Amino acid sequence: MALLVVDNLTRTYGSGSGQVVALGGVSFSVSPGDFLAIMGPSGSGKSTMMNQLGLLDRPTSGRYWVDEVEVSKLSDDELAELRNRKLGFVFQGFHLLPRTTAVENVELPLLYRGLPRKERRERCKEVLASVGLGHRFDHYPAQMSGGEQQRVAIARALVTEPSILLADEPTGNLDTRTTLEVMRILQELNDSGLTLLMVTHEPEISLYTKRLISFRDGKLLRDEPVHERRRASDDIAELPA
Amino acid sequence: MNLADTLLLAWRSLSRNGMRTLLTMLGLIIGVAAVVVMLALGNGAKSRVQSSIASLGTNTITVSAGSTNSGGVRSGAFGSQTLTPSDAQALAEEARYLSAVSAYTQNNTQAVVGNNNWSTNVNGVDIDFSKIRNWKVTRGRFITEQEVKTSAKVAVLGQTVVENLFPDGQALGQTIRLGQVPVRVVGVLESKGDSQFGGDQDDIIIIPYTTAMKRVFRLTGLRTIMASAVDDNSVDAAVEEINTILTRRHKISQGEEADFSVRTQAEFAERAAETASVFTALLAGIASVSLVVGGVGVMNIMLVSVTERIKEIGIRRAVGARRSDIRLQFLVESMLLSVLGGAIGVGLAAAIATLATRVSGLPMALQSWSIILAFGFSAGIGIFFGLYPAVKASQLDPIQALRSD
Repeated sequence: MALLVVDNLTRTYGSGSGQVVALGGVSFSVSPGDFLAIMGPSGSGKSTMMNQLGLLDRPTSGRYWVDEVEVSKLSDDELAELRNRKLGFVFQGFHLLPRTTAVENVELPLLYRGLPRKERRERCKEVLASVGLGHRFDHYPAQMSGGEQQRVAIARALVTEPSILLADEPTGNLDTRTTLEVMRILQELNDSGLTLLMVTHEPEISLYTKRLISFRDGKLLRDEPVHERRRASDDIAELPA
Repeated sequence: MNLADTLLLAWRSLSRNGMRTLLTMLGLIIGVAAVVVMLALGNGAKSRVQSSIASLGTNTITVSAGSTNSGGVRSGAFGSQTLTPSDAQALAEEARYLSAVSAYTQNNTQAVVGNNNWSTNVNGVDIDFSKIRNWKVTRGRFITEQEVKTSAKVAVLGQTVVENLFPDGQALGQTIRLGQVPVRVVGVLESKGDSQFGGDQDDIIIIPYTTAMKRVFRLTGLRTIMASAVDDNSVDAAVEEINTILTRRHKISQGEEADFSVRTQAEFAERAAETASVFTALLAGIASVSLVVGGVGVMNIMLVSVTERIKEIGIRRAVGARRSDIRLQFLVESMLLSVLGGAIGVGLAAAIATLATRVSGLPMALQSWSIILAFGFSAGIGIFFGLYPAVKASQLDPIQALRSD
């Protein structure tokens, strides 16, 4: 059974003659362990799709299942709970809380789960160490590089042990080496079984994923497997020192 | 999110903007301190009024001539002189619960000695008056029974009168003129200071009531009889007795309006306390306006805080915060702000009250209920004025919030 199923999903803004169709009937499904790249020019509907997939917005029509739960019937609070339990978010701008340490940023989703403080802290430190930030627990975002900040954001997304990781242009603000490092982490996560969906506008980044779907004018244009798949760890090794 | 985490979060966010938090709290600090201090001042004044009235003797009873009704024309309560010296006599002889009775009449009169003159309060009294009012004589003596009987031209002076008429202080044995009537000074009263109403209690001349009625004021009846009950517990019985005796003497039939009224010092004290309470409520009311202004300051800063933290709200919503979590976060923050402000305000009020009492001798009675009231009020303000910003924060669209910079 598919982890995510999107069935004829539409999203329109406004009404009457001023109506804008952001998504015009999109259907696809994602199996566990998949790694999707979502591509398309700006205005193609890929960001709208991401908001729908991330349960941050509701569709105008159509249906959407997350782990066999039909979400269009859920209340606001139930959606929040589902976001917390099933989804992890990584954003282009990192979206870390300023003047808040790495550990506390990672802890954020766990606060809304009511775990005891000690357990929270332990899990946060484990996850931070797993993304290579074992030495940065008490650093503030402003004291860290872009790559480190994005790794904190990834740790925050992973700490809840989600079923799906949603990444919105995760490498958009990073240089080549850091981009590859972030992709290496994402590939490793995928290898260990995590399902990933990543919006990107860089074709070369999509080569690190398993499947590419592209949007144009609110419609699904293509849905194809990635043939010449690359390993970020290999590319890092080839970078000039 | 549990309460400890929410509180910690609120505390962090407040301490992160230390200066702003302090300035916002200042509004509430001033408001709470003002309310508590005003209540303390009002209550202090009230208890001082009560104690100074009590010091006059709580067993004092005043019988006043009431309104007369002659042919349908009613005079005011003090326009009549329906009491007579023989009424006073009768009360003194018949009433078992009265320890002292004195006819009493008073008026303002010009007192003259040589080149000095002084307008003062001349009291015509009986010998028991010194007992009723606790007057003590420092030099010479009080008036005697014989002098009352013979309407003798003698007087006892208060300190203020002595100072104004006899700059050298030698009053005893001298003669002063009250209007046209020359009287000899036989005694000087001990100083009593100002009364609770600010009047100078030493600005007084005491003469026998007979002298006052016949020679100085030329009156046929009395307006007032002063009396003392034997003790505090028999005041009510004494009032009852006075009513019975005077009703009989004045031949007032059942159902007819009495031509006199009896008031006790206790009633008087009660009325004064009521006045002080109104005064206290007024002060506290004015002070609470500043508390409300402080509350508006809290709302203002919370709105700023919500706007500044739109992105944070978006992130929290994305990682699983419910609307109610966001609402609670901001509400707890504004409440913490208000409660801290309230606590500091109460502390400030306590410091002001202590200092004011020590420096100026103003009576301040800091009361626990007023502290609880002001504290509760400021916490209430935190909720009331924090609710709108908190609801606003919770209703933000997470997508818009995440997109903002």
